[in-house]
Amino acid sequence: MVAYARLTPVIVVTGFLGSGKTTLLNHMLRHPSLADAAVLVNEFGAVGLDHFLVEAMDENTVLLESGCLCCTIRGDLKDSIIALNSRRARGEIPPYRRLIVETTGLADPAPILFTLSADTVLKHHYRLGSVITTVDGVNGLRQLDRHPESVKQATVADRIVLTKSDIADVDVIDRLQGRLARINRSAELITAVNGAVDVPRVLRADVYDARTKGAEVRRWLADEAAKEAAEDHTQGHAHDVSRHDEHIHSFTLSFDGALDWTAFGIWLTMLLHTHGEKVLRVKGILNVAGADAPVVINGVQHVVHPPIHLAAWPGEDRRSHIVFIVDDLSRDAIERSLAAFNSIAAQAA
Amino acid sequence: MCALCGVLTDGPHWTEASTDAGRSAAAPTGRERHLERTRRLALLNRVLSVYGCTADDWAGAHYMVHRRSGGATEMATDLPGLWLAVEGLVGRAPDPLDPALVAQLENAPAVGGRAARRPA
Repeated sequence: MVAYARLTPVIVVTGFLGSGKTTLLNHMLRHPSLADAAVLVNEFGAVGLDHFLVEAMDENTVLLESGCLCCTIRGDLKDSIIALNSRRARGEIPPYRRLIVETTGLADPAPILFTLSADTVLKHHYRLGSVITTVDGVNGLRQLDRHPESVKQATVADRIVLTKSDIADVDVIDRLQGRLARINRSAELITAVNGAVDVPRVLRADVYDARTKGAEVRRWLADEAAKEAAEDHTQGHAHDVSRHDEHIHSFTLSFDGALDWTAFGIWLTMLLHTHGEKVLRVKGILNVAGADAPVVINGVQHVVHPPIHLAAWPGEDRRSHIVFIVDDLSRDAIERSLAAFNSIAAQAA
Repeated sequence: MCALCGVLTDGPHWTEASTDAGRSAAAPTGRERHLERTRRLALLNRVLSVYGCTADDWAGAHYMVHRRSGGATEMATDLPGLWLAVEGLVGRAPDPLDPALVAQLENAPAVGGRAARRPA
């Protein structure tokens, strides 16, 4: 884990067409904490980026043998990052310590995340830091209705930045926030005001950064109680069955007793093998049998990042909490299955 | 690459990382790794028995998976590879949400042995 944390973190900025990715990026890049960042963009858009190091990439993809669309190596991304890495190593460009990748508005972010974690060259130099998704406060509801890409972009987010809220109808914003909370309960929702956001708050999403991981995990746990209450309140509300995200839902499983790490690994790899395309996100804090401190897990579809060790529990709660975002999978079936796998692993005192 | 068998390996899978905050992921000793691997195989075989399959260790680095009724043996370097091998052997994806599998596990006796990764 120590070595993994030292890899160059990659912040993926995604969001539907016109949702304000470049505006957000321009604002963020002015913050001192991103003075040492390099930026890769899919295309130079109408809004230019005012930054010392911006590179463009051309899309080409390599579909791996598994045939799963989320397990696609994005050749353009790989080539662009390796080229940047070589130039950094040769001292031709400033020694950037973070890399920001801005996707196209129509991109499915899953292959980008897969490329970062699975490519045999990239995985030794880079790691996923966080995913920031912009959602258009005016047009977001319509985009979620009509474009499955926008739903996917919201499901993989660690932070959702709601843009154009200053010109959107209050009722529309309220409905959009409720919808986003249902799609991805684990992402913190941040409102941009005239394109400006609290940059440190956005950057705290990196759970592999030793400076921020404790605070981020505490946020997960603090949010959980509030969202459970909100979920209870909204039970029974009618849904529009024509929506792309009708079958996508997020929920949290909590376990009072310790989980067996070996049984959990067997279970999650088996689940992802068979249902990986439907398990859009899994992240959580585990009370692992035999360990004094919790372990944090973080995965997107078939990609699971190395577990993170916390030095201590962030609060009094010692239960395991695992957030799932799934497409048409039963919460009860997942909970019962994980409990059954855990039950076959007896723990000696 | 393994010098003996020529098989490419690409570092430990996330399931093999230490859960111990007191040491780095690469730190488990050989004995701890062996104990953990033995225990993982015992748990795996409880699940694989439902599919008529068995997994064995090969050189502490690979899994050999075969049907108990005989036939081909498949090799896997990690758990995702093992599930792919099982799917090839039995002709269907092994589904942890399958109610029949879950019911069998709920009624199965627990696998003994302590978790190998204890706090330092």
